[in-house]
Amino acid sequence: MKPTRALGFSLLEVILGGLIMGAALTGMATLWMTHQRVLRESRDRLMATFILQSEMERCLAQGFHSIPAVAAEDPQEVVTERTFGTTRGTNTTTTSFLTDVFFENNGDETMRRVWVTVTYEDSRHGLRTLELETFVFKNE
Amino acid sequence: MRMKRRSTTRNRGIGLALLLALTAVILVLGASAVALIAQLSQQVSSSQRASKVKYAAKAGLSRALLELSKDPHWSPTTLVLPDASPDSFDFRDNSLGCKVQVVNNWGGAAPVSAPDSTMVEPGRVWLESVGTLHGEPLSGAHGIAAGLAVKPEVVFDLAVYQRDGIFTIQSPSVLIASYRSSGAATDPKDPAGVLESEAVIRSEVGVIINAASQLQGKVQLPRVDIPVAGNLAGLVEVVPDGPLPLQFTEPEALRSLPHPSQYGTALDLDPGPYFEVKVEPGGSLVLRGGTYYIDSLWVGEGSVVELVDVTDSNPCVVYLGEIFDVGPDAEINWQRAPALLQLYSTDRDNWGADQFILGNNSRSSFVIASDVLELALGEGAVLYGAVDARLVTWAAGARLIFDENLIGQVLDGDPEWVLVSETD
Repeated sequence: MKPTRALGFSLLEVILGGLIMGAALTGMATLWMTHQRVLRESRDRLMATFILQSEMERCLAQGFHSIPAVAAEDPQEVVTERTFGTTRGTNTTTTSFLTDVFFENNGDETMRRVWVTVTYEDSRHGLRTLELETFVFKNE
Repeated sequence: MRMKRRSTTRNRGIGLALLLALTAVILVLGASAVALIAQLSQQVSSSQRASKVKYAAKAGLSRALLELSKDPHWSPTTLVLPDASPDSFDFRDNSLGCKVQVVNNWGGAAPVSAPDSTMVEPGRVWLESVGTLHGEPLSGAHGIAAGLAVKPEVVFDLAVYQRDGIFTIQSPSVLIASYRSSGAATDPKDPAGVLESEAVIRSEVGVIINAASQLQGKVQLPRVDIPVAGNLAGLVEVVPDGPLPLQFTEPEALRSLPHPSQYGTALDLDPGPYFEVKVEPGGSLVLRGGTYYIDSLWVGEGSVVELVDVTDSNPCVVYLGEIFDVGPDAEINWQRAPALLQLYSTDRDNWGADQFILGNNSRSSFVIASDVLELALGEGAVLYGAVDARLVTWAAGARLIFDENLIGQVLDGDPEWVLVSETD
């Protein structure tokens, strides 16, 4: 009787263990997918921030008087490509970022408020827009 | 059988224990992944916040320059934005702001110490702007912009300062030399014979002078490795810092007045603002001591521009907008000291491109400045005075004769505040 009971307990172990393992693996798979999504979102957001800063620096480098010209060039599309390896070869994903520059003058046109936006598609939030703003004095 | 039974009993539950251990390891890995994701997300958000606050801090410096342009003595304890000023803006993002600290030594006689131990020389204003998010600065050194605001003095110590590009004279028979104006009403300006010239030209990036042209003076460069080409051996001196940028706008007092246009063969204009002034060929224009703003000035072929009622202490100061076009054979302030006619370009929108022209064989005596000015000297054009410009082009036979009396003299132009040594 004892060996038989011992074998039955092993079966229970297997079932229980299988359930626990299954739950853990399912959790891990979900976590892995979430991780991939958040990683991609973070990468895109980081890239958007970088593009945003570059565009703002371009405005500031051109100076107060050239801001309307810079704004007239936008919106512009920046497409980034990421290639990563898998067991079946390489995969490439692209993200499209749309930059736009806006400005407005104060009353006597001695200062401009400049704001730059970057819009891109986020898998979770849909269209997402990031913005940076500053003021530029006429001598800058 | 006993042995086998003992073994089975001893191994009972070991599989479950192993699985539980494995699951625990998986859960620990999972928890680490969650922590990693959270950290990554937090880092990206923090980088975004740092960017926003950085540009909010820069906005604070711009606002400080605006205040200084209205009142050079402006010296608040701290300027906190947003402040709902009607002359400026508030941030679109309500959570953003900045605090600007000011140490204004514009009217001072001795250096003063700023909070960061910088010694602020007289005539300078120390500014530090800290960007804030929900009223609080970010931790670390994020979102801090600082700089020294300076209102440069208008000094023409150099015969020609070309601020941009390679200083190039490709045409033959161009002469750059110097003389010393006598200060008398008539000023004989014929650099006959060999001059012991003090004419200094400066470029930040390089100098090329045609072998058939002549520089009687020196070349000033910021570094020893800047290329020079031409007969310039022994003429090069290294001075790391050039003059501060000179930027001009129409004087505040003239902006609100009407800007009439004047056209004709004999014009006599009082100081004040004008939109277009056009002197027909062979005509004359009289300008007086005082301040003018002329958006576009055409001096026709063979015309004469004369100054009356001008003295060293009351020169004729003209702020020029889009166009300054001197026709062939015209004369501008000829036979008078250059400092009596001071021209300052305000044309920042068009960058003065190809619009400031001294026609062929024209003869002029003035000083002219602006960091956006592009000045073209036509064939045989002669200019006595000095030029501080973005770019100067020289046709064959053009001559620039620098007035040595200008050295160290602070002229009457009212340049804008500029920010130097900006850090963020």
